[in-house]
Amino acid sequence: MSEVLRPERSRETGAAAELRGAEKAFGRRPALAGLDLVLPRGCFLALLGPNGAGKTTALSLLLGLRLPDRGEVRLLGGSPRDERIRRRIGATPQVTAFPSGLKVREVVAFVAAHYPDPMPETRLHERFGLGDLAERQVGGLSGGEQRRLGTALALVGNPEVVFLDEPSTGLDVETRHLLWDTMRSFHAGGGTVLLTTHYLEEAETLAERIAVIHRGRLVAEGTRRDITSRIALRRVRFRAETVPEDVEPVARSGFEAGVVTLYTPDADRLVRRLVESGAPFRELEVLPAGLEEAFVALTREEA
Amino acid sequence: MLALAHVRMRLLTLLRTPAYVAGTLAMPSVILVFLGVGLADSTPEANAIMASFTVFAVMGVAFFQFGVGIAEGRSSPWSTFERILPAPVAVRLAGAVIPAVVFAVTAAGLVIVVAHVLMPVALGAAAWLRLALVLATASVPFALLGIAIGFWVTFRAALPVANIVYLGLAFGGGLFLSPRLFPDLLETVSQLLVTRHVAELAWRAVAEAPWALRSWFWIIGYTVAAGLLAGWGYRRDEGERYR
Repeated sequence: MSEVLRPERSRETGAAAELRGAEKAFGRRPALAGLDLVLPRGCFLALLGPNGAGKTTALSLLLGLRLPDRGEVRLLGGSPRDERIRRRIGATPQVTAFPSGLKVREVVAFVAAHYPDPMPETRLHERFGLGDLAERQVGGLSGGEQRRLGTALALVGNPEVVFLDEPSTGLDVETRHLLWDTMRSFHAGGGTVLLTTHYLEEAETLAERIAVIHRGRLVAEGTRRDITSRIALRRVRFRAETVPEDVEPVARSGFEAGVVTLYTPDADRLVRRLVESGAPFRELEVLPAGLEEAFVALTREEA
Repeated sequence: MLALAHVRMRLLTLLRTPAYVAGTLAMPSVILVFLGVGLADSTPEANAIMASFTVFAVMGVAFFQFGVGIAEGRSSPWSTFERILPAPVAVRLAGAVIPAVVFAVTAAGLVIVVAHVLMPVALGAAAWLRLALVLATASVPFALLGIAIGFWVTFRAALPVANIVYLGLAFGGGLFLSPRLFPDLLETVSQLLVTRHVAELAWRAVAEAPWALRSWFWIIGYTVAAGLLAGWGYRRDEGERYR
């Protein structure tokens, strides 16, 4: 516990990472439109949003890869461009990013050389099942193997905060679970994690808190339970002459060619109300709603 | 040591890229064999031809490693990842410059070996020293020109553009064919090229003749211009300053 007494760290009581009113445009297209995001220390936060919501841009600001047009970026109480700060974080490279001629062992040793107290090679190999791959050239690895290597590279420096960008996109189930277990145990050991994803399932399985962004803005932030209940919408669809009034709960409704679609967080209650209301309907269906609809519903809610 | 890790990484990456090894390290010696050897009928002539090809070798490394390397880096996700790693600017610089020096020395060394085997070359210690000085100085404007291309041209275009500029400067500067054989128009253009002035210094070094001051001024002028162009390109690429 001597760590706590180190003045350098005890002064840092703030968030592990935060964005304040961050704006960023690429040409005329705004990627972030005043994003506020706080990653508390020790928290496992999922940044959830559809493709193009600004997740990757938000991450690139936090990692010091880009500068905001406006607003503030803080990482561990300092600037993400400060290499002393960056010694305390880890991030995964994109798959297919590796210089193909290098061997796994060489890439690991190169990245490890940047940190004051890296994980021993043998432990890293064991933890990520890299032992058999050590002498293989990176270019010849499968997608799953590359992802394991990428995760190992994020953790090799024993970081305090880890950033994972869409970690399980295109992964096989086995590798995804290995990755999830690794992140859970990193978090259980006191580590802070920010993960971006467009899968609600992934956010739900791993994160303590979920921040939802849409069109470069924070539309909802809260505990996993809170956000899941707001976002896990279902679609209730039936034929009717008009959209029935006074049925709840409805997040959003649509009417097209005699078909009514209601988006609801509680389909059971909605159907019960619908029946009770006596409104005529035919061909009732209850379907899962895509995340996109949930995001749109949430955005409307905020507005 | 971190700088060493960067140097090692870059050397390994380049050495395991056959196109790079063949194109940058071996090409000057190969062209020397086909173009230069037959013209070397005397020792002074052989010395000058060898000097030309060492300039060509150093220019190739400076141009391609920095030029194409930077253009490639701008589009490669791995270099994005490298930017996240905590490394001081000095380390990143060492990681770029030291491998380039190693390759430049190797490429020029190959030329010198081939020249000694196939041509009647003979240089005194002072001539070697002066030639080395010219090559070391000339690598700066060449590298800056490469960097400028790297920042101003997209990755797809970088290789062809670098090739055209590289071969154009080499031929126009009289590195392949002595400018004595140039028609008037080409001679006029040649006088405007940085390679011509580097070559003049290299030829005078191996001929143990005094240098013309104006050649150095041309080189300084090109260095400043290429440096500004590279700096401007870097700014434009970076897009924004951290405030």
